[in-house]
Amino acid sequence: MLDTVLQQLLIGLTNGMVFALVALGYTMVYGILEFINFAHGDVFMLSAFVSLTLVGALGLTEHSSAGALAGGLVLCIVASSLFGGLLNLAIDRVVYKPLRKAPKLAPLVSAIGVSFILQNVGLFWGGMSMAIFGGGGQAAAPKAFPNLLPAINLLGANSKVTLQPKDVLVIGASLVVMSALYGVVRYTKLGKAMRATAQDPSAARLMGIDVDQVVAATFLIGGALGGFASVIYSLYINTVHYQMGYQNGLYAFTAAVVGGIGNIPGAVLGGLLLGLVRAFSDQFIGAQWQPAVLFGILIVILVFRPAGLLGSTAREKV
Amino acid sequence: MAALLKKFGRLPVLALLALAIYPFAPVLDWGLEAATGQALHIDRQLVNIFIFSLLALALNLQVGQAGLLQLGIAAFFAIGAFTTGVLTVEKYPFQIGFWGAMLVAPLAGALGGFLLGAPTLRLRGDYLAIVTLGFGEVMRIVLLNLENITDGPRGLNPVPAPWLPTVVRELLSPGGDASIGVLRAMYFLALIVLAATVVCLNLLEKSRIGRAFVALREDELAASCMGIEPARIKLAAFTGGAALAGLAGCFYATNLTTTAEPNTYDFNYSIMVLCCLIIGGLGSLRGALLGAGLLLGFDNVVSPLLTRLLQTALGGESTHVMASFSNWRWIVFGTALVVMMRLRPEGLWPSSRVAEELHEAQEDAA
Amino acid sequence: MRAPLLQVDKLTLRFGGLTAVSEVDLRVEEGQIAAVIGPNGAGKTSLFNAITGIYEPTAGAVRLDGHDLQEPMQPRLLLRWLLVGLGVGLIGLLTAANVDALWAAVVKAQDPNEFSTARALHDAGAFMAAQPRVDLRMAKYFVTSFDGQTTFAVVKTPELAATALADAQKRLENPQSDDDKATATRTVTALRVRGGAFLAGLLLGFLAARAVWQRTRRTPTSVALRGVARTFQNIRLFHNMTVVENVLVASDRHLRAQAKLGDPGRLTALLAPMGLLALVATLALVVRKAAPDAAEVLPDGVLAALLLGLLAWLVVIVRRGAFSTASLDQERAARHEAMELLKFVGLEHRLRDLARNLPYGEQRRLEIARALATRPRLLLLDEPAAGMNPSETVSLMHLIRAIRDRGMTVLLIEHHMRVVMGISDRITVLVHGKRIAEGTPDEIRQNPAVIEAYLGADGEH
Repeated sequence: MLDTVLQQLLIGLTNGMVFALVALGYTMVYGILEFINFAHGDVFMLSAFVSLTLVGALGLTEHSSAGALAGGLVLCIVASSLFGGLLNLAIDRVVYKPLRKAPKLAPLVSAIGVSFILQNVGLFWGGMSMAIFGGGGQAAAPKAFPNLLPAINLLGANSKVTLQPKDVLVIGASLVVMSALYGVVRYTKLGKAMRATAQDPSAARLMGIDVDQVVAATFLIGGALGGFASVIYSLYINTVHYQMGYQNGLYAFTAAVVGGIGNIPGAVLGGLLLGLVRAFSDQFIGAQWQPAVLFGILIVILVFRPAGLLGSTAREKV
Repeated sequence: MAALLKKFGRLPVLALLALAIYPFAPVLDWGLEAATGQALHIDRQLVNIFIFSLLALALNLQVGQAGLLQLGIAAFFAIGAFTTGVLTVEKYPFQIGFWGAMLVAPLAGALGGFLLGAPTLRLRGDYLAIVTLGFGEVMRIVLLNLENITDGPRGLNPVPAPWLPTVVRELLSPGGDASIGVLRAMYFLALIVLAATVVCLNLLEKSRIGRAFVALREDELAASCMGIEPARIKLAAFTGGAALAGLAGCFYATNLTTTAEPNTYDFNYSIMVLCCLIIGGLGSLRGALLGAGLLLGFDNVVSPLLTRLLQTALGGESTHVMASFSNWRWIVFGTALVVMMRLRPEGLWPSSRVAEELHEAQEDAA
Repeated sequence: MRAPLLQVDKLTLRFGGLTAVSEVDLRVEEGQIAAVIGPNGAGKTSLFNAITGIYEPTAGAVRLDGHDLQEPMQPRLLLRWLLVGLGVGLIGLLTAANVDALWAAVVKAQDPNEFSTARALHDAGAFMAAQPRVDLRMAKYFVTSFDGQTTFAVVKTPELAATALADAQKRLENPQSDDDKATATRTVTALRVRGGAFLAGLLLGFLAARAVWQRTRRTPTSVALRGVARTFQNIRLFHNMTVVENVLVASDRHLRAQAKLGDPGRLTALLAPMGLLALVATLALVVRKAAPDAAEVLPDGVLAALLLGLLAWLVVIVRRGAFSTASLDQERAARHEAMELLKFVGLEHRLRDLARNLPYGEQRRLEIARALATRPRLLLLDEPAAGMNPSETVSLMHLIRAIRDRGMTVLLIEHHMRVVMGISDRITVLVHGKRIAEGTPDEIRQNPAVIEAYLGADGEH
């Protein structure tokens, strides 16, 4: 029993880290622009396709040499993060920016539109004739992402709890990235500008902060976090699918809301909480009920704390 | 007649008349068949459009009128369809038939809407988006998992056709062809219900509740200081929309003779309905109808046509994912949403008030 | 002695570290015009917001006619929370017991054409109690445990099944084999899980309903419905509605109240179609079930008549506008009242204009008319004279007096000293969130603390 609990704790933690990374992208944009960037999950998905294409192009498999694997992984992380960040930034420039002054619904609906376009792009991407995509025959089918890290149990072959190198990678890398983000937001000039803009964009503008630049940086960082998360997610789950953005985006967004949307520590807390609940519900209730359980948790938390766990209620100026 | 024309305007009355006559004189079908050599069965498409319009009107009540960000309308559509399925199929003892289901399905939809809305409608707008989106997902999963009740991925079937009095049945199928009779019965039932819904929603718009909707959309705080209870009005709109979606689901299942598999009612379906509101004009009844027509027209007429063109251009039987136009539809819908929001946020055929609200917001911001 | 109409006791309002209003007392007697003055940032609007339920006071009470504006705790609320709890508990119970298996055991176990409700109820009871039961599925009789996992015996007839069931129950009570023990444990566990889920749901629902109630004990709506109306410092009209519509929005309260009092036309209009449809449905159902052959012979005319009745109802609903209000008469009355109010504030020439096209002064008047349409006992005006020219200011003073003469009590925030001194019966002075003086205009004029506050700290007046 204890083993099971420990094991689920570990699974929950790793899953939660990925959710948290994606949730950060939602929450940062919401904090500043007050709109749900629905396309974020699909930026995450397309970044995973970038990694997969790279892995295929480099010919990396489980059996490649350690040096090649390490180099390939770093390359994947850099490429996917860059791709995610730049794509997110481009979407903002082309689609959302002209709608800054429009009613709230306009950017939201546009984001849903972008999300669908990206999903369709993912579908077509899946039809690529590269061998790693299955030769292009089944565009919509999930693609196998090779297990690039050794599948050994770090706790010893006899331990009932499995801790693989990939778990360590997910948790370790996520912690590093989150700490870095925290440092940026807390201590750098850009971070201060971001917090100021989140509180009051017009006042921030009056104080000489270039709000457009802050927004651009937010999209860039959020997208890069999504791209980074997509690599470690693919390494962890070993599957890439054109609908994985929607699925994980939904969970990540739920995590952001549970934590209190717009609140960066809240997103991390929400992500971890959701990851843990998911792991335990899979174990004790059944994986097929997973969405229902998470949804129930969301409703309960919102009824008792309408602004999320760490969120504060906004006071309307009268 | 003159009074009717005066009360509702010329266009709706004439359109209704034309639609009422159409199944008996399908002129468009004749013309197109003569031109292309293919039978298009526009009356069958029209039934689908009527039912989809009902669903679009349901969403319009929630999103367009009450300003609630509902992203899971398909869940309530599914509730209606599966309620109809459970209550009418032969394998279960209820078998209350279409007429009974037509009463119960909206009630079931309303119950679902009330249960979801009561705890969540006080939340701020963006949270409602995630809650409804999640509910849509959960409803699909639950329907899939309750395999003993819903037959899981197979769905419930056959859903029987509505029972009709002999006189009516004979009137609808003069040649004694039962399938034409059923088709026409569905056609007229859907048309009557759609027309009645439009009339009722039109009245609602002009009523005190309609005024409260506008007031809440414009300034929720000021409206609540005038004694309007936002939570109550929103819950009423949400429940009402859910009931209407349930009714549409009942028609859908009956027309299809099956509840279809639960995966039909996914997020994409909800967004398709939203898409047709955005294209037609959010908050506008006529816009919702136009949008439903355009969208289904695209899906059922334009898309297959383009696929055929693509295939001919590629010279034969290409199995590549990009060679079938139906694989392009989400790019098309997505682009439509983005372009509409940018160039014409009020939709193609907006109600005058909503257009003013949108433009005022833009002027204020500028 | 009668309680004052409005009584604010030691009201404190804190935002984070900032205290906007600090232990302010305020009394407004019925039929008076009272004013709150003070330099900018003294907390006047915050006080109004706290009174009207927009802000939740950190401490202190607001009473109208001696009754707290916060909805009091009542026993019937407990009942309501309990009901919500029961509902959630039921959902929890059904989830824990697995609705899907319940359905299989209760509905699917029987032949749909020879369905017995009594048997279904009995089966449902046995299922919920996690008892072993006779399962008729697959046209064979065999005894299974509650969740269909353990088969004790496969038997050929109901009689043998009953014997096997009795046997199974005996063995459950007195387990011998490991299999029996496992089933017995499973039954106990299942009952515990179900009970736990029900209780957890009950508690959760109860607490959730209570939490929501606590958040909504005092809302802008509830305060408005108690008879307090207000205007806003930064005008908040419904800009895209016409002048009349703005006022009609505020009549909603009476239209709804009248609708509740029971206009027979409304109820019948709403119930008629339901009744008719239900009748059609039942009739069709009964005819089809009872005699499939007779359905062909039965007078279709009856059904046709019912359908025609439905259409006739539609016509009625269109003609009477039953959906729009309790009835057209009441809507007309509300419009009449709106016109009268607009005439009262001097906007009768603007009825069909959009609110946003009105000049500033007229927008302020429209806000007053809108507030009056809620038929308040107490009217709060937040800087009604701001932005008005001298002649508009004079007519505003007349208007406020006229409102008082209609029997309403007025409390206003104002910077124009001429207005305040000219019409107020009592004046309260706030500085930095604290009340520093209260009295008649003459007393206030001579109060050294007030002079000090206005001339010393803030030279703008």
